[in-house]
Amino acid sequence: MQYISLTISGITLGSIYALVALGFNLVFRTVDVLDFAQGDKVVLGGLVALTLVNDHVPLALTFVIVMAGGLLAGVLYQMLVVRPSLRRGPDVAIVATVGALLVMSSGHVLIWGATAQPFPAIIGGSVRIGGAEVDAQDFVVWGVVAVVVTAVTLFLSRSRYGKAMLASAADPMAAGAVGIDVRQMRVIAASVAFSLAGLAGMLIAPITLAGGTVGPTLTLKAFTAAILGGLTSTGGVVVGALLLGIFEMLVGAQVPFAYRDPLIFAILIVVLLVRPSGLFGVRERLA
Amino acid sequence: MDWKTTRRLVAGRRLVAAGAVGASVLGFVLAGSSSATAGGTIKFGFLNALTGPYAVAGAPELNGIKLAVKDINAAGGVCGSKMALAATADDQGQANLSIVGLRKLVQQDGLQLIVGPGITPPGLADAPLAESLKVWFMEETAQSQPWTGKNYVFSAITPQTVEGQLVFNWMKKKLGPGKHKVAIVYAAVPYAQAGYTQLNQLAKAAGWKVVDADSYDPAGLTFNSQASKVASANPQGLMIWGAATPADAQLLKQIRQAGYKGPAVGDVAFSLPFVPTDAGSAADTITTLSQLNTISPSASTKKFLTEFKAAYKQSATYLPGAAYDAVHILAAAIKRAGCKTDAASVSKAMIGLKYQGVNGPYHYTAKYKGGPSVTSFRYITYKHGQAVYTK
Repeated sequence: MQYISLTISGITLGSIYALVALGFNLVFRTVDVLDFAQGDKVVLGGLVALTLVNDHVPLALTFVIVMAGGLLAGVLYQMLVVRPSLRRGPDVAIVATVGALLVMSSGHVLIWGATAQPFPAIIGGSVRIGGAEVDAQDFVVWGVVAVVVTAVTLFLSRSRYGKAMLASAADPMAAGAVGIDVRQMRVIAASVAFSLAGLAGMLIAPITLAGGTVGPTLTLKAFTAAILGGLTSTGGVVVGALLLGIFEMLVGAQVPFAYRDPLIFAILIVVLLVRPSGLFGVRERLA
Repeated sequence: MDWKTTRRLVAGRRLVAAGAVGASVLGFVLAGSSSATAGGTIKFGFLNALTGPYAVAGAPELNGIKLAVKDINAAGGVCGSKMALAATADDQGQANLSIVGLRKLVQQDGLQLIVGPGITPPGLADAPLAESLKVWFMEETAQSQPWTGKNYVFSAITPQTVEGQLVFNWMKKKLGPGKHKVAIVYAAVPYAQAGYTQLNQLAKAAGWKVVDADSYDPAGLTFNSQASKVASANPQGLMIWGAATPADAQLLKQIRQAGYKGPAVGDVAFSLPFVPTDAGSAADTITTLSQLNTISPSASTKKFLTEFKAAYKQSATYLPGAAYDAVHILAAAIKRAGCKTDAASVSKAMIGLKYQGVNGPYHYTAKYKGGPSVTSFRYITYKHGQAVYTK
């Protein structure tokens, strides 16, 4: 029963990482930038949702407002943080996202205080699986991740806008030459990533509390998951995230906490030595 | 110019120079031995984690400071002067930033009276510097090393070794005589790591076996691994040392969900208001320590609790309570120093000072410069979300 319970907890934890890692994946594949503020966007989404819920806004409407707000915030984020810094190169843009992380993590504290706050469950109750008690909330997280990853994969591979976004990242000049508005594609990508982060915040908050200092932890773990699965593969980052979550739970139950992360990162290094693009990433050739 | 005129001019310049030097020296001496004169302002500084992960402690402490200043000034001030929080420095709970912050408050802002950090590593780093700069320095750390052997360094928090002994005593009384199997879980922060070391030593000295000892990240998302280990080890008793963050409550809840049903005792971090809120019914299953009496408060404590809640929309805990007491102790020390506000006089006046604070009775001596004595602690638990006394 212990292993079943830990595996189920690991899947939920991995699903949380997956929601954040999808944001990494989307922005990297379309803007060619690693956005280290993704974790704190999740925290922001949870706090905005908590404010609305505390003001008695119905949960369904809160979802809509947070996701719509995320789209708008993503536009601002792209215009104020990413675009100006990307002109000087992707390295500068990465540093700018680290700056945004610091602004957001301090901003949370100034507005909402430093203490994480409880968030009401989206759905109550629990189910027994193999002797282990599984919160209904966990099923919601799993379900949303499954829907989101399917939607993002289909969007990028099948839709006109999705293909245009990928083309804009692969070769902005060529994309521009064939009439793709590269700027618009990047704005759309950033908006969708921010909105996904807001959604993740609402789903995570009932499990881990809203606010607090989990932003950098989420970013680090989601980044690890994305690298493990392959930053260029949407399905890969999700698999990487799930593997990371399950591994953390199972390994964490066997070794002292202080050894867990070093062990996990050591395994990540070994994986990258064998598969430098991650488990499912595609190595890109220049010619 | 003839030699007599030259000699007069040189003598005159020497006189002016001597006068200037004399005035400077006089100014220095007067500044060094400044007194609170009626209508003046007694300025002090605050150094703590105002942002970052440790702001959960530092930000409420700042609120405690502000409330103390308001209360003292409303009662007429100190020696006819108003108290003022003149400057703050944010160290984010980091030792290196704390050193920079302390220097800024002393050398840039010119402050001699500082209420200092609440996190252990900055506290340990700042104490020698404060002593060398000869500034009155009241920390809010639960360690005795910063103030041991110092003349200018004090603390408003009881050393955690007192807490550790009380936590162990409760478990010993609960389990009775004989050899027992216990588990110790602690937050991965220096304060809790020191607590674990002490509990581990006490347990082994008592002949107990520590069947599970593990730490957790206060910024972690879930603690099911640690909870699962406790449940699997099935100890007769569980001792937890928290980080004063909501993660402590989450850990407790998950340990109970994992199936551990035995007695549990935690350090004073489990007396914070988010424990019953976030841990739910699991809070009813832990005994912890409390200093700030929220169950049957005295008139002055009740006033503090009510004013704090009204001003800051959050419940006060022992952390802002310590900061609140620290400013009142400063005021008391200045009065005891004959209204002198220089660091040397105030620090000297601290020796022998007794003060009844919201966190308990303080008594500073040449050998003991820490927070309230062991008598200020009570064991509490929770019943349906409300703190109640227990034994």
